[in-house]
Amino acid sequence: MAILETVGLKKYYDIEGNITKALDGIDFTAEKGEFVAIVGSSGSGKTTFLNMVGGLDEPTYGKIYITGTEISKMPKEERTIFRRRKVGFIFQNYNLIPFLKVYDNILLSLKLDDRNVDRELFRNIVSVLGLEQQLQKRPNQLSGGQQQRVAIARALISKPAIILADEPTGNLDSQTSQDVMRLLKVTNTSFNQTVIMITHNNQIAQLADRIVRIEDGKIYNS
Amino acid sequence: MKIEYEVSKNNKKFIRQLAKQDMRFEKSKTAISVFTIGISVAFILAVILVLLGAAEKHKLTQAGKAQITMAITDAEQIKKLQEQPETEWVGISATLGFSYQDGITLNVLYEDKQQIEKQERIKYIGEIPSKENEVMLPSQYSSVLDKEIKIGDYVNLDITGTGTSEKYIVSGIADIRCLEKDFFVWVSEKKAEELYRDSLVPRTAYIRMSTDSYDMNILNNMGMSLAEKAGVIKESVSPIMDYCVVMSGGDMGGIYITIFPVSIVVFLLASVIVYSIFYASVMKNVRGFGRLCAIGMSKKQICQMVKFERNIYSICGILSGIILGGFISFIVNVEGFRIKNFLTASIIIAILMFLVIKIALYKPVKIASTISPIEGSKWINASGNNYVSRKIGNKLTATRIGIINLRRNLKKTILTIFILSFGGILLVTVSTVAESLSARKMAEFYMFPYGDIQIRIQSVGKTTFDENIQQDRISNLQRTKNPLNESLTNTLKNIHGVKKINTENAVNLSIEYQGGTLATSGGTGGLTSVLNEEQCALLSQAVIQGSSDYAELSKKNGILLRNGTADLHVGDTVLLEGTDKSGNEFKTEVPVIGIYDQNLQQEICPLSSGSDFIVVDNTARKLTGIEELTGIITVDYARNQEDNVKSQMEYLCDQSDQIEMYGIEESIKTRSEIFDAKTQPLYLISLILFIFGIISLVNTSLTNLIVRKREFALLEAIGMTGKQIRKVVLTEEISYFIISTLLTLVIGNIGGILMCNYLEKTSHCVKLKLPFVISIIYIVSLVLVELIIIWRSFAKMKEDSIVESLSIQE
Repeated sequence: MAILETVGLKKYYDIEGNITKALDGIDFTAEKGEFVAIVGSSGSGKTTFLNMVGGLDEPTYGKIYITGTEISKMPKEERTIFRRRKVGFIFQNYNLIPFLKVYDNILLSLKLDDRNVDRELFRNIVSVLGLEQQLQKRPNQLSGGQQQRVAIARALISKPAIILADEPTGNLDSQTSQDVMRLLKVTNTSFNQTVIMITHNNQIAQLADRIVRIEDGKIYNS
Repeated sequence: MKIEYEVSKNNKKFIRQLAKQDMRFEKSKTAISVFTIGISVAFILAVILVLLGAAEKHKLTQAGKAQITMAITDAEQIKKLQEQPETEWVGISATLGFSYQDGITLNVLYEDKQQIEKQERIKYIGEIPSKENEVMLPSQYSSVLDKEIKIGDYVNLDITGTGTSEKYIVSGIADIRCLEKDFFVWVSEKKAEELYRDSLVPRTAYIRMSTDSYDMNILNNMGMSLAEKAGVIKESVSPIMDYCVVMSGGDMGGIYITIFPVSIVVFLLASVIVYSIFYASVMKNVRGFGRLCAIGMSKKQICQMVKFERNIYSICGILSGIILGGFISFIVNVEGFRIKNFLTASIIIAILMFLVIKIALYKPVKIASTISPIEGSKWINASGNNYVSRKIGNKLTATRIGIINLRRNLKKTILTIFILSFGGILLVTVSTVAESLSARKMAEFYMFPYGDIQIRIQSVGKTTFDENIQQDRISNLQRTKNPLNESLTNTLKNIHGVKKINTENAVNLSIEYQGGTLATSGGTGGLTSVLNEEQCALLSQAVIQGSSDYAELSKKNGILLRNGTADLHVGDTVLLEGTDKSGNEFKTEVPVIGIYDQNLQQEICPLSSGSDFIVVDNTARKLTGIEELTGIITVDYARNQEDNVKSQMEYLCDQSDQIEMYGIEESIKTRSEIFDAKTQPLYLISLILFIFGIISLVNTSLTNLIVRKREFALLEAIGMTGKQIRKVVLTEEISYFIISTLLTLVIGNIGGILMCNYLEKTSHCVKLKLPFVISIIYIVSLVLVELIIIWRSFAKMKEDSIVESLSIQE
């Protein structure tokens, strides 16, 4: 069974009488442990697709299944809880909580869900991502690369079904980008984590198992 | 598959921890919010408690002083009263009479030791007079003797004012505040009996009761019971009004009336400020909430977090405000501070403030919990209106950026300016009115339209000790030989400096009607104006009901009634009272022929009597037998001859026991006191509003600085110099200052002028004077506050490093 499946996914925006088709019928699947890169020109609908899949937004038409559960028709609160447990998000601008230390930032989704921390997993993730020395610092005391690692750790700690990464290296220099990509790849292989990643960078996209191109709200190759 | 997402108790604990960490991280913002709430609460509480404290302090003057009075005829009655268990003590007082001589008034009285010492009205040194040739004098009597009086001194006094001067020993000197040239003289009981040898000394017993009750009925019943036991006439029993009124709070009606609107105004303003703090704090953090939602924080959890933070702010702010407010009110008025008032006011304010905060958060929490996580995770200015310039190619200068910033949060800007200006507008309006109010103009219009000095007939003569004292002396003198005659007017005209003399007809009359009595009020001798035919014709323009037809008034002995005086209409009958040509009292039924408006009447046909009703000369002559009706002579004089005119007129009046002088000063003083009593609470309210405006401005400015730290760092990183950034801040602060000052001065002055126009129309008491001094003080105060804000802002900006500020996540 596919860990992620979208059927006829459409997202239309009505802006002052003009209909904008951000997504125009996307059928997509991803298997467990797959690393998929989504590429496409600016405004093609990549981020919209990711937001739909992550439950951040509702589709106009179509269905989304994650681990067999249809989330497209879920009420917003349920989607939030589902996202907390099943989806790990990595944003381009990290979006760490500024008043929490790194340790708390990583564990935030678990604490919100009142779940016990898997100490072994935590140590493992922190070690793999090289964050041992940063645990008591706040986000404004970290470099961009370090902040992105924290974001990755946060996404991983709840053992989500999928990780959604929206241009995770967009704000980083090339060396740091390579480091972060290496870590994502390690995450994918070590934890058998399904990763769906948006990127503009073809070089980075090559690291994925599969590249999907979205243009004008449609998939062009898969 | 149903997702269970009920929040467990442990989870709540985590949300609280999150909230605490958030507040600790934004220490400055937290501190400003708590400080503003605290100051607002402290202010409300201090204002209420200070006003209540003033009322309590006033009560202390009468606490434990329940007493009744009754007329006593002999020592046996006094003894019986003293023996009663409900009596604490009995003091005896007898007002024996007064006399006017050599420009001073002597009020002669007898009071026993109990009365003098226990009433606590006066302090004295020496002894209370016990012998016939002993007196106690007030210390101010030294001004008459031109030397300091001492115990044992001999003084020559004509106590009765009948020309019999006797030598007395000063046995005691009283410390009591006397009116100018108006003195009390205490004599012994024996002297009192000598002065009243043919009749009983009019003794009044003041009985201090052993009770805390201030119910008039209870005290009255106690008095009746005492009277019965002591054999005193029950009709003479009367509880002391002052005690009952003060202890029941009725006396401080003015304060209580002031407390209510002042408290409401202060509370509303404080609420607006607190509301805006909480509203802004949540709205600014909407992006942060969106971010949390993206990670998986549920709507319920977001609400919990906001509510928890709200509770902490509220508790800390309200508690600190209560402590500070209580402390301030205690320091200001220790005697009047009451724990009960403090606790009651604190609880009510705390509850109301909690409600305000809850209301303030209702909408923002709703918005925050429903924010799209997309907005929260990506977009920068998720909430509020984005300012879009209509003009292409505008120069983006530091000044323009400042203006853009004011516009981007227009609601907050308008609110801050509104709160700041409101106090200023009220202050300028109140100041315009207060400075324009002219007690002199009002006194001139209503009581002294023809000049500053009036001469009237003395109602009581020079001394009450005169055996020939008459009832209705004024009418008797007018009837026999009116002292306000041509000879007097000629004498007055010959005084150097006198410009004009005006005579008016007026007699001593009163009316009784179902609902009350109208004896002419006016504070200057109680006379009713008498008009001739010509004056009646003029007055017709001021008549609003009925007519002022002279023939009808004359035929029916009718009266013209001042509008608003009594609940009477044209056609109603009243009982007109006076003394007839034989000097006997008469009462006759007369109709109300017309009702006139006093303001119009004073403009058309000014009268000095201030009477509540008017009769015609025919009626006055018929009923009273008085032919020469002159009752008031007014003297108009050159300002530079004021001293000369007054002293000569005083001399004239002193030489006669039939006439007396009234100056406009007393009338001006009374009216000034009324004006002050009305304007002072308004000044208080406007000062409070102004202070709240400052609090709001400081809160807005400092919070802005903290919240826009990253923004300023960004601007600096792009290339804006420190000087230019400071100009941005300066533009904003100057805008607040200019707009609020303009609004204050323009609207305040317009409001003041409109108010003055209305008061002039209704009360003729305005000489328009714009409040330049107050306006300057307001502007200077605002400038000082702005300078402090700007100095603090610049100092803070210098401290912050660009790199640190840029790393702040919004």
